[in-house]
Amino acid sequence: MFLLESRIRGKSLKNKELTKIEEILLLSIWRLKENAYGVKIRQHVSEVIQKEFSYGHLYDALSQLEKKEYVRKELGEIVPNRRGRRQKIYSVSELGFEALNKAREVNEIIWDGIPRFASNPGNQNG
Amino acid sequence: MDKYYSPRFARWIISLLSKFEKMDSLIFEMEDEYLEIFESEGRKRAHKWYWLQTFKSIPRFLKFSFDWGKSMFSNYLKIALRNIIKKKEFAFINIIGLAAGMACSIVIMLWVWDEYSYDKFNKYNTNIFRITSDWEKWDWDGLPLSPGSLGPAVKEEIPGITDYVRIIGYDRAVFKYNNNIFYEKNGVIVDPSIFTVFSFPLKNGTPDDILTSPESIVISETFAKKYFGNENPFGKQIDVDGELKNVTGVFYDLPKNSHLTFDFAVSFEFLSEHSNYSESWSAFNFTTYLLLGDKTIYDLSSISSKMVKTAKSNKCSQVEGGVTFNLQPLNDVHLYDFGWETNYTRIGDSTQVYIFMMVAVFILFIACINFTNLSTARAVNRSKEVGLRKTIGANKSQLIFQFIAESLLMVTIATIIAILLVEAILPSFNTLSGKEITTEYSNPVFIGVILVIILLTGLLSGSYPAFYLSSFNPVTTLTKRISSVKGGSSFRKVLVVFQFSLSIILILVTMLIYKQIDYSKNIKLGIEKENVVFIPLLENLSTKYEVMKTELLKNPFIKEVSAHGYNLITDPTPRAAGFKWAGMPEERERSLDLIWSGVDYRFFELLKIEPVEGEIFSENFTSHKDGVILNEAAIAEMGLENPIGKWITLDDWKKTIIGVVKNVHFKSTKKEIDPRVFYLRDYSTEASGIMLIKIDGQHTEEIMSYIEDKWNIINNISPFEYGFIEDDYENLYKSETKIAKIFSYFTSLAILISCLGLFGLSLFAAEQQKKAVGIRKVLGASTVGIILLMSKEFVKWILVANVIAWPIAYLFIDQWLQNFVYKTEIGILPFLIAGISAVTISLATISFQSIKAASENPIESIKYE
Repeated sequence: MFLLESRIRGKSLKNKELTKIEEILLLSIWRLKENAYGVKIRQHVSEVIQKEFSYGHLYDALSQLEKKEYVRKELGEIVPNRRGRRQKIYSVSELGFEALNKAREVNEIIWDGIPRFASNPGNQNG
Repeated sequence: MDKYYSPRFARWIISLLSKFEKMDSLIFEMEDEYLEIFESEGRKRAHKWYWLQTFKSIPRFLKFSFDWGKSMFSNYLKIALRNIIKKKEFAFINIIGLAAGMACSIVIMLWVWDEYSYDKFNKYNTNIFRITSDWEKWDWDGLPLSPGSLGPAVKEEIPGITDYVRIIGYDRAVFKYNNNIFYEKNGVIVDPSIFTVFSFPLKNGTPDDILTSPESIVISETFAKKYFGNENPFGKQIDVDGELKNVTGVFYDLPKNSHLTFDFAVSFEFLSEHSNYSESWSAFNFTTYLLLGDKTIYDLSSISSKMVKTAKSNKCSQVEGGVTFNLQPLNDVHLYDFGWETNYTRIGDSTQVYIFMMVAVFILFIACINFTNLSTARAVNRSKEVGLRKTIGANKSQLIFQFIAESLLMVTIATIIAILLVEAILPSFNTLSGKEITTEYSNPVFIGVILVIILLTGLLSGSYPAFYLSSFNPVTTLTKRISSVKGGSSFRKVLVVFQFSLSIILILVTMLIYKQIDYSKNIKLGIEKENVVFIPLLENLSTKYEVMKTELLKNPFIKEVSAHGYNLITDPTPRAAGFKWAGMPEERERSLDLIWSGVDYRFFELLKIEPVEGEIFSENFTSHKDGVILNEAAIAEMGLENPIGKWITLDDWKKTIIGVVKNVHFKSTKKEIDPRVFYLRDYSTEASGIMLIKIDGQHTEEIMSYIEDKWNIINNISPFEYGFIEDDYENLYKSETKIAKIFSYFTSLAILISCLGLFGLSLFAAEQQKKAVGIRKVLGASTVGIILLMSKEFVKWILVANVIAWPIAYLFIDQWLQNFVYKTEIGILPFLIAGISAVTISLATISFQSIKAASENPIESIKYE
């Protein structure tokens, strides 16, 4: 019964690696600081990846990040032109920073010493 | 303030998609950004952007909502499982009860499915039709007999008929190959087209080459193995009744769900050598199937009338006399047959199938009612928990989902157990029913039906307590005493009464079936059936009958020896029509049908058939050779007074009536006693039929080996074969006995399920009334008094169930008994027995709980307040 109980409680989602879009999202949120709400985050990410980042994708990824507890949501101030409701501000959590550091490490290791690639991909072994 | 500028339709889609929590800000955010773009780049650009966002977001939202749903679902599931584990005994009873009911239902439905699936494996099953004839004069509709020449004529003259198949039974014969000698009675004479029209594949041989000559024979795979072992029978010869036949083909055993069944087949050429039946237009001896073209199947009535025309133009006397033809679709044959028994058909009964379907639904219904009942009772005990949840803000739909999830989980577990039970029961069920039913997990219909059952049961039985409970006022549930929360109990009472009514109906029906069978088996037959052996006589023994008889009578333990033209009980009755007699009224419309019975001397003495008037055949009077004896039924049919001495004729045949004997039951009590004419037959020249031997019952074994020895002396071709007519009488009721057995299983199951339900209910009634009982005890009530009090309610319900069940059961039973000409009276005793048993069983069931409750220490019960 004990085994069943612990399985029922669910596998932990913590300590999973960041996907690329999650990495971009977290960094955008960190950059935007107190402006890290829906519209601004989406616009920032769209600029970075040079594509129209959809709201659906945004909230899907945000919810995944929330489940992993890498982001926090806080209610910000009431802004008059926002029909009287409070905007939700996202911020990176402690765990989120850890995950980012790990992602950076991995990035640095695999990119270490590799020069910028020229535009024509003829030379693979350089 | 709330003015929206973004395109309405797109916004509507977004609002649909964002119907989840934490997503309500989405509309606003998109609106804000829309306005930004509107201001900086104009309306058109903003519009385009909004629509683009909508489209891009749709797949993501679907995935998002799927994930969300999945986690919500697993959440509910976890809680549901926890709740079930909390009350293990209750869950166990509930699940087992439901599983048993489901397993039973599934098995029956598989059987029904099998019955409906007959012949559907044939590739052309929608295009195959059987010719049936309607004989208005005798009130016979749908007789599957037609003249032998009809098939070929129809194929030639009527367009749209692709092919025909004629079939007729082949008489029992002795087969011999090497040392294998056996009687075989599952044979037919058939057109080779049967192997192409029907999907009966050939193992050896091709349809064009088999059955081309009188000596051709094709055999089934099993038949081949029986005689040839591992040899290839193709091209070999086998001895059939003394003549050699060539095995020109082997066919794979016919499928069990084909209405046609035979082990060997012989050609029409053979038949033509021995008689001209197949070319005749007046011998309705054959069953003919037609393969119709795709367009023709919509034109059945015109084909039927064309067939009548063809027959008339060929001077078919029966058609000229008013007989008409019809075409019966192949798929209807198995269940809707006229009732014409042959040795090559398997006929079912559509009424029986329908009844079983109803029973399956009934049992499933009882099981589901049980489940609902128990779930509700259990839910009422959790009303405190529900009240608590509501006060902390759980919304109504969440609670409802919770209960439904619990229900669905239990139903799913029950279904899994049910399927395991089905697998376990199926082998013995197949033996009982003579079928080869398997569960087809690959069949989408099968899986679909199971899923539907799970969903329906789970949803219905889960939603009742769910909706009922979640509409509680939290304040009242938390503060009021549990025992005063009644609500819905009247519905539950109705459910229990209904369940028990059904069980009582089943008890009564089963009892009455057994009663009728008992009655039929013990009815006064009019003969002494014990210790009468019969031996089939064969045509090659024509001169040996008298010799055998003399030898047998030398044995002091053999009392009488006689003979009859056919097995009275199991063989079909040869009937002739058109008898006339002295003093027959002119105006008589209906011609007289009589059954022929050709007998040897001492026939009546052997069977102890009582004479009523006149004399019985005796060797002392040569005049008896021109005499006949009629039975009472014949005399009644003729309306003849003083029959002795009067003549009776049929065409050229004319005899004098010398005696009348009492009626005898030779067939099942379902049938009327046939009017019979007994005549003397010379068995020294025509030895066919059966020899009857009355033996001394004390020395059966000895006598049988004596008879066998004598048989083997006079005959070295055919194996010795015998039977006892009392066994044949037993077998008359084989199918009713089978039905009775099946019904008794159903009844036990229904009672079991009803008791399980009642048990669970009493469990909760006891818990509910713990405090009330405790208080009563303190005030001085006795244990017995309390038990009586608690049981009173239940007994009342059971009595009501009886009152409902009795008339319904009576109707069903009366209806079923109409099938029998000779039936038992229903009587009041079965009803009393059923009623008393129901009350006793239910009292026993609730006694556990009521005794436990009544003997508990009252201090314990009142403690928590």
